[in-house]
Amino acid sequence: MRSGRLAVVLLLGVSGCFDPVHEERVTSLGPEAPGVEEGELHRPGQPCTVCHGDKGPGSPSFGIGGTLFESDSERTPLVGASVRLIDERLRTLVLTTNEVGNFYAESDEFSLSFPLWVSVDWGGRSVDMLTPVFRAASCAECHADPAGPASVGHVYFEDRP
Amino acid sequence: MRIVGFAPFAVLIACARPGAEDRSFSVPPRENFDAVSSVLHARCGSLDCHGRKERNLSLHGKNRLRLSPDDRPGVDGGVTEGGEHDANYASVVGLEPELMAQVHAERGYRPERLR
Repeated sequence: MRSGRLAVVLLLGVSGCFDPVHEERVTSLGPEAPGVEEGELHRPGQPCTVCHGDKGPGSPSFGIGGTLFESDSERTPLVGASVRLIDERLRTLVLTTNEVGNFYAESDEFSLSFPLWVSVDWGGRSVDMLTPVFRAASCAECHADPAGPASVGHVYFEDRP
Repeated sequence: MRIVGFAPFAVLIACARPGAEDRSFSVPPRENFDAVSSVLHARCGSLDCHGRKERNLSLHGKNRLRLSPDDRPGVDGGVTEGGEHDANYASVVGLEPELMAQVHAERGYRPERLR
């Protein structure tokens, strides 16, 4: 009888840790692109913190992350741009995009509090994001491709015909 | 043994559905809600807050979550469609209809009950 109770307790514990919504979001991101290994250059344009959040499975955990592209009409990465984040207490964090346009801050180095105001400096010019970020830790939560009723499309620096 | 006896009962509770009988509530009228809808949309409806379909209080509008699959958020010159105001109204009055009806019946007394 004692072993039966133990089994019930263990079953409750396992079921309590399983998050099917999170698992589905991770699965929906699909496999790695061919020829790209896991690392800071992988999965540009995807919502980083789905995997690199508190629930994993990615490691390390990110406080914020995203991908910038040069224009709205194509997905050429915006390389070497400075992403300036300013929080409600006017604290600032500046991150730099890498070769595929990705930028991120690991959780232990991210101490800003939402909402965040964002601006991007690149090529001697600066562009401000029109609205603050209220809670999304990944750009692609609102800026996923393709643009649709619930998404404005990827983050880009300038309009190009 | 007691645990085994309890298990089927727990399953039944988990599968039970709420009553199917119709219930009606006296909520604020749809009339004149467009202005309220515009404020809610602008202040609360960002895509990472209440401008998400998954939220219980889901808000639509021209610069945020759109109702029509053909519309896009944040397009200059866009307008909030009447159907989006209708959807916002349904979302607001349908969130806590019992509380909404209570506050409405008391002419807005202690509106903080709706938070």
